[in-house]
Amino acid sequence: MNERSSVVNRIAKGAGIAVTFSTAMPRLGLASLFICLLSGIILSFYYRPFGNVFQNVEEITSLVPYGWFFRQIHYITGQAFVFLMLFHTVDHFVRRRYRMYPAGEWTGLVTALIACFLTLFTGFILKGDKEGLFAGTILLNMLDTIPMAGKWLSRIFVGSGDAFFFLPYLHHCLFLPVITAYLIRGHVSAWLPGKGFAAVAFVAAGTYAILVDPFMDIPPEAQAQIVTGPWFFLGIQTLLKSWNPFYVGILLPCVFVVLVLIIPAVSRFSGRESRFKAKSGIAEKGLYWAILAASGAYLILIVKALVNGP
Amino acid sequence: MKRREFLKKWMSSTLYAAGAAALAYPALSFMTFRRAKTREVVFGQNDQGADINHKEGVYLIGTGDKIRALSAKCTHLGCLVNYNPLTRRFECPCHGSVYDITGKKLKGPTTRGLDELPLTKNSDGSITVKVEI
Repeated sequence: MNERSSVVNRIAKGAGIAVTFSTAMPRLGLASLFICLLSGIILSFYYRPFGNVFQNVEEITSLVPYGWFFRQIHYITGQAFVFLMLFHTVDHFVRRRYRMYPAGEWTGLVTALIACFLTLFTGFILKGDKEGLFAGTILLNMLDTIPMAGKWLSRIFVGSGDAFFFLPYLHHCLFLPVITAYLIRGHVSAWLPGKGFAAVAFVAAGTYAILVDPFMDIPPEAQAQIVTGPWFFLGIQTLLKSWNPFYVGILLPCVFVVLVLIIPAVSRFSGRESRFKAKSGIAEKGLYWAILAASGAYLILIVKALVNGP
Repeated sequence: MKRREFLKKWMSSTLYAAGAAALAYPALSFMTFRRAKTREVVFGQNDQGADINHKEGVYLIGTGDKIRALSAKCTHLGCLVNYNPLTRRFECPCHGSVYDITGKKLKGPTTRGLDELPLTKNSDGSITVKVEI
């Protein structure tokens, strides 16, 4: 038995009643991912990342047969996948299951979650409306603030002029899904959804697509009083109003990710008999509560921005 | 680990890193190359009716000889600013930076005013503004 499957078995054995709840989330999430990929492939037959992208998206929504249906399915299953993966990660984290993961695997899974958020962000840009255009520009200018490597990094993610949407398109459709699939390849083998989960996800997404109208896209040339980013970016958008873009948009998220990445290594020290045992135990507790407090504070910022605007 | 093994490992790691850097540098240079481009925004006589005119990310301010062109790009993070005719100010819809009619920063997270753009008055009365892409 390899290391990964043994981790999953340990999780399945040790969780009691919560195992139903804990294991249903990732299975539903994966079912959503498969539907999202399928609807994305269908949408790619009409979507073009060049020229008037906004008009292209509006044609998909209002002119192409069932375009609205596939756009809505793609949107909601993408959101559901990332949301459920985030929930799954938080569930693991709160139960301190990171202790069971080898550092390499934990790093891969956290990176996969970041790749998922980047996929959502690039998808938001690809709407081609005012919000998407501004989101792409903000990402570009925020990366630009990184000392030394900023110019290179920003140009890897966002194009310029007519090719503005091409690089986000490439990342959204190719690089990020491939990176995510590679990083979670071993982990998901234990969470693959059966027909039941796939059916539940499809019926839920289909019902959403039929009952909920697509969001109103703002034409790029229209004036809007407030332009907001994707829901998970709203906290950063709020902080950007008064803080330096480099600190808020780059440094703060990086510090948070580094804290999440090192916690399994710190916990390993506290589990061993060594002269660092006591200090490592305190450090792990400190890290654990710092990560939870930071996540909670960011969640409050998002909710506040959703209610009152960023 | 013996000294010889350590040195061998260190040497091979350094060689791999140098090889990767030698490949990465030209690859990154290729991937991030952008040819400097400018586009021209032409304000015809019909586009110059008001004292504040907007077209394709450019604000043309004033009339006659006292005419100036300002980029509509917020100098904070690049969103396009709106002109508010009631307050006669430019307001950023993303993070709330505010500029006065001359493009000077009034409040918000931005650190400087709006960029002034070079303009040319044409013989037919139109005005051409050059914008860097």
